[in-house]
Amino acid sequence: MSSEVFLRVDRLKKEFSLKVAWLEAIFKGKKRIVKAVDDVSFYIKKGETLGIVGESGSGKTTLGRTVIRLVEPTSGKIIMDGMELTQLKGETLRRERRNFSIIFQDPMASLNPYMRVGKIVSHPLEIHNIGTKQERKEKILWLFEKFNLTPADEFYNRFPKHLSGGQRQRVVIARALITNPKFIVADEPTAMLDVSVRSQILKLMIEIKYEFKLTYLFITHDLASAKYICDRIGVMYLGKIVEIANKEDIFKEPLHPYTKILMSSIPIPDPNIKREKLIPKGEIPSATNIPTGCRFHTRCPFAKSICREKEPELKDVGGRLVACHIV
Amino acid sequence: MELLNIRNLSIEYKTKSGTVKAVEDVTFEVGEHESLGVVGESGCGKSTLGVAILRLLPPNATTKGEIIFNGKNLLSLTNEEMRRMRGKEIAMIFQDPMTSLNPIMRVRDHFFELFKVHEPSMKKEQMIKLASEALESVGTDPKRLDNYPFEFSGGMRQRVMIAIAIALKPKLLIADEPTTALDVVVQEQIMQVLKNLMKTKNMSLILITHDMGIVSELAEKVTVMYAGNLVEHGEIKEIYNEPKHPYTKMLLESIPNIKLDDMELKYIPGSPPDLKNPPKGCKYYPRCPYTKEICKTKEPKTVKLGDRKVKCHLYSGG
Amino acid sequence: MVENSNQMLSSRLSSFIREMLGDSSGIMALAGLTILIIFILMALFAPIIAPYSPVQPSGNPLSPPSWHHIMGTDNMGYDVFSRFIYGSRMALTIASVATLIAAGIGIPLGLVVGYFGGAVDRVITMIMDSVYTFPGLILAIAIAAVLGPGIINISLSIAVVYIPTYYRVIRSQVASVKNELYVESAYSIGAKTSTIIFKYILPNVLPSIIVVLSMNIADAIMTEAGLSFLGLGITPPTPDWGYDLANGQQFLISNDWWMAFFPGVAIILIVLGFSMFAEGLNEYFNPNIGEKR
Repeated sequence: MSSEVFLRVDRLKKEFSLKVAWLEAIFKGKKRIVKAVDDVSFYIKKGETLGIVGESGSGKTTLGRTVIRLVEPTSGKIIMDGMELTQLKGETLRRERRNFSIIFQDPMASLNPYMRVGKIVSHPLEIHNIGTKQERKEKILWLFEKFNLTPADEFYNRFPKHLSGGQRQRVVIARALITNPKFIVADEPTAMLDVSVRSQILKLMIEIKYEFKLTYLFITHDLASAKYICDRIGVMYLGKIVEIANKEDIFKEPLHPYTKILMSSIPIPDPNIKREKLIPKGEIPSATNIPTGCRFHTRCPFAKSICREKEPELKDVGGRLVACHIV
Repeated sequence: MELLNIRNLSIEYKTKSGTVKAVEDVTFEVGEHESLGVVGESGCGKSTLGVAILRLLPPNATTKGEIIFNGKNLLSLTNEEMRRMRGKEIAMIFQDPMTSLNPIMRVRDHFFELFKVHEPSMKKEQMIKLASEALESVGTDPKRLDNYPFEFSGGMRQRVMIAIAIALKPKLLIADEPTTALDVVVQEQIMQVLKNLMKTKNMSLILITHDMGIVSELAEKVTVMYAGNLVEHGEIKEIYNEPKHPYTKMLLESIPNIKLDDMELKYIPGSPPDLKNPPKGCKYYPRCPYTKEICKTKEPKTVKLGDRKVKCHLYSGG
Repeated sequence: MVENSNQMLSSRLSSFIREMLGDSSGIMALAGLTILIIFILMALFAPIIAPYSPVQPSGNPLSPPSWHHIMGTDNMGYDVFSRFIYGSRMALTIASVATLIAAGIGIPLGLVVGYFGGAVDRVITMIMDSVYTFPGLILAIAIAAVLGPGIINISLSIAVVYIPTYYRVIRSQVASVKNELYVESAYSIGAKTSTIIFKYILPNVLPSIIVVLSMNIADAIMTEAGLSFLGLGITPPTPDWGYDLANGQQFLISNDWWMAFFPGVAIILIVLGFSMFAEGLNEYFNPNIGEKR
């Protein structure tokens, strides 16, 4: 891993305006705004994997999509490999897409049911005019072999519905990898898979990361999977990063109360261990109605009066960043 | 006495493309006030097992064997007798709390519906009292009885589902992947609810899940299923500390953990067999690192090792 | 290579037929298909099958069914059976041309508008909805009256009625399919908009089009017969069931039933054929509709 920064995200915001019934629009007189990503900054070094961990509703999925411009950011800058991605438009952006890709959570839904697997994987190459027909096919068959989708030429002609969940996700990864991108966003790539398949996919992703010199943004709700693949981890809550640090620091000593809660909610398959659990009050509030002050204070077991009034900034605590008044 | 005795239970589905042996010759028991976890990969027959106890299998399923609950064989009850069992003696909660509640009925009406079926003479005050108690026992404000399902979040709905299930104080609660659709933090909250219920109510629990972590935090005993077969059964601590069946061992090893000094990702190679056409002999042999010749031809017998049952040639002296 | 693709086609076809026969919806589609094939063969080989010319008297006017004229003759002495046979040509031609025009305009419009949405969507949808709410036959009559007779004109006036059907089905399908993850995936690999529309969205909305298509042909045949019945169709003596039906009903009062009966049966049968075929296909493509649980 070099110390060169590959991706820098600076004050990124993404707001959605919700459709409001016309009666409400007249009486309340304003649109309802969802702040899915609310002023998020981070960097990823070349060859590094940054994990973004949070509950559903934390905005982590929107963040992943916004970083590669599948969703238009409301404001902020994204600089990837020295190029300002937020400046690109139309055709230039479309051509640039060969350099970064995304792996979605649901492998079945991300494959066109009317396309054969071979065509699905070769399509990115066709779109970007890479290689001849023969070269494309050879590369795909080679990748299928490598991904254990064998016999490869048989898989090449199958439809997605004839594949198992794990095989489908390997096809999705193959498609994401086929143009030799430098950066991949993985949005909960293992969440819908069986336990035993989960580890296979994680292992595959780690292997190709080194072989193809990839940089990952790994989005998950599962800290346990994040441990295996991430170098650093950012914890997201209601559109904001509340803590970001090296994996070791997060696992050894989580600082933010929310990180602590996430850590203690992971079920440990060891009946010999009895842990004191840290359980928050209630559930994640709606992003249309973000609490004032620290957005976590409504659920925080340690909240004080300052937490209700003032929003904490990310501050440096021994080389890591935490946004909490108590730390 | 055991509350539930399942004896030689086999379930087959007839489909266009062949017969699926979803559950094969499964025998185990659940004691009173005991919690049992049923674990396995998807397609191992664990959900079928849960639904079969309530006799809610689709019409193309045939069931053989005995399900003895409280001294009565459920499979020989009339439909009417069985209907009276459901919700009162045995209750079930499912994975998806979003679709299990009727969106146009208030929460109170879901309770009332249940009460009217089983206790037609119950007064309204009594119904409200019971429903409020049930909601309180899952940590939900009884004031929310008047709310509609859409006014609840996913975790709250699962609480409501649990409250409805336990409202008539059933002796057995079957929970089929109750937290799979929920976030980790909410999952933890629901597990606490179930833990409290186990402590305070006189109830047994069958927890069906793919997550060994949840089982080890909630259950006292565990049944490991593979391809419709019970491959290992026993006390959770014993099984965790010394898994006997290779599948149990590999399943335990493949769970991601949060120890920083253990970075090796283990998994079970291959995938579970097609239940229309399972391998001969032991169903696990194609994925098993200890396979011997006999495993490929002869199905292992279930042997008892102390309180433990294991279905593997390594232990049957074969 | 050619042999290979043939083999694939035939094996696919046989597995398709096997699947269709598997349940009752398959039988329905097959029965519908059989009726349709009979009518199509009738239209193709009309000169061989028909015993007489349909536009020249071949016997005494108004003679009842007999061995010489199995469906009798009409008031002009034309053979009703021969007109029955030749009538299928007109019905099928106009219905298919009309349906093709309607589909050819409605489908691309629905695709593009459904994909892009926005203000254009609102305007076009409003226009389409207003056409859709207008009673179909009356609209067709109005247009046919303006355009005058002739195959193309009749087809056009029928087509206008059915454009909104395609538009609405496609647009609503596209609006949901475009939010599918595989479409977002296509976008993320840098696919052009046209590629996304034609390779990722169109194949996924096509099954519902095929059902609408066959249902629409049935409707179009009815409309065509209706127009001819009202004298807005094809100029006589060109054989046409609608015209024959209208002509024949005048003679019902004198008990010369065969003149109206047989064209009526023809219309009912062919419409039934298309409807059964469409219904069967519908259940084949959307197997959840008939399912309980």
